[in-house]
Amino acid sequence: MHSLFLKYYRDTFIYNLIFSALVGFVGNFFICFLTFGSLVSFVAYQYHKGHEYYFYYNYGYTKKELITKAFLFNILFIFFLFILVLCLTWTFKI
Amino acid sequence: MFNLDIQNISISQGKRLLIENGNFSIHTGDILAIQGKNGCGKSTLLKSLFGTHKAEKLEWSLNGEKLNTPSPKYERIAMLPQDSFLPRDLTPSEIIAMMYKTHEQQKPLFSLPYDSDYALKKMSELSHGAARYIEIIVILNLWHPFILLDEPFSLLAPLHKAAVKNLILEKSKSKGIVIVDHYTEDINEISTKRILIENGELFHRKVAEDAEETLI
Repeated sequence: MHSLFLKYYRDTFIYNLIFSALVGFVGNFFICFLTFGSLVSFVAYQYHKGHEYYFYYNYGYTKKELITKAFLFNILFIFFLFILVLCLTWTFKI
Repeated sequence: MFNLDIQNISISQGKRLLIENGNFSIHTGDILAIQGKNGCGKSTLLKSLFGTHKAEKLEWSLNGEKLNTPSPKYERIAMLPQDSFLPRDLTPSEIIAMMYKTHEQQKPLFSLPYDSDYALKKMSELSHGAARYIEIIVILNLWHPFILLDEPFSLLAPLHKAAVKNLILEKSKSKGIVIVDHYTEDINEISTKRILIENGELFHRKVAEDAEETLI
């Protein structure tokens, strides 16, 4: 995975994590992370760092490609986090 | 050697038609200056060629071969936008390491006249002029055969401006470069071709016609 994409993912991930953690207190963190959290992260990135898209464009990435890949990574992240939570719950019988 | 021919380009911004049926071409070795008043469509024209603004109509070809709709994914054209675009939380060294993988690719970037410790400061800690200078260097050293520069000279210190002009001249040996800027004197000094945008039309001008002009 190219470090340029990881930079984009890290930036959107932080917005998503903060939003989903806050909303997660009143709802479901996992669902929020994949739905509203993802949406908010891309909108927040566009608002705060939209001009930085040219950094990625000049490397051959399009906005659509970045957002699609980031969303797929969010699904992977939630999948592994869900498995981890299940394992911990089962191990410690929380 | 690359030849990019642009035919019948029409560009709108909202409901306003900025350019209608414009034609021009860029070849390797060209430094094409696009001039015109504020709001005439200079930057929008660059964005349309880069693929971040949809042209109403565009027929274009590279070395005689018809091209699809412009998009950054084809990596034919790189663009320096008007606004600062490099991540502010990274240092120029980190950015260069991300964009250029081999030592050979990175070497020319580090041997350029950086002042003081630019390379190790975060972009957010640099002055606007220094940050702009780094951005221009990063863009001009990309592998794309065509480079679009939107206002490269604004905010630059005289020393940096001279270095950028030299770099543009050096890179134009292997690339086609398009410049949009209001600093007419600087543009006149290095450009080999000029186009004036006026009332939605593209006027091809001889270099001598602009020699006595100052700011547009």
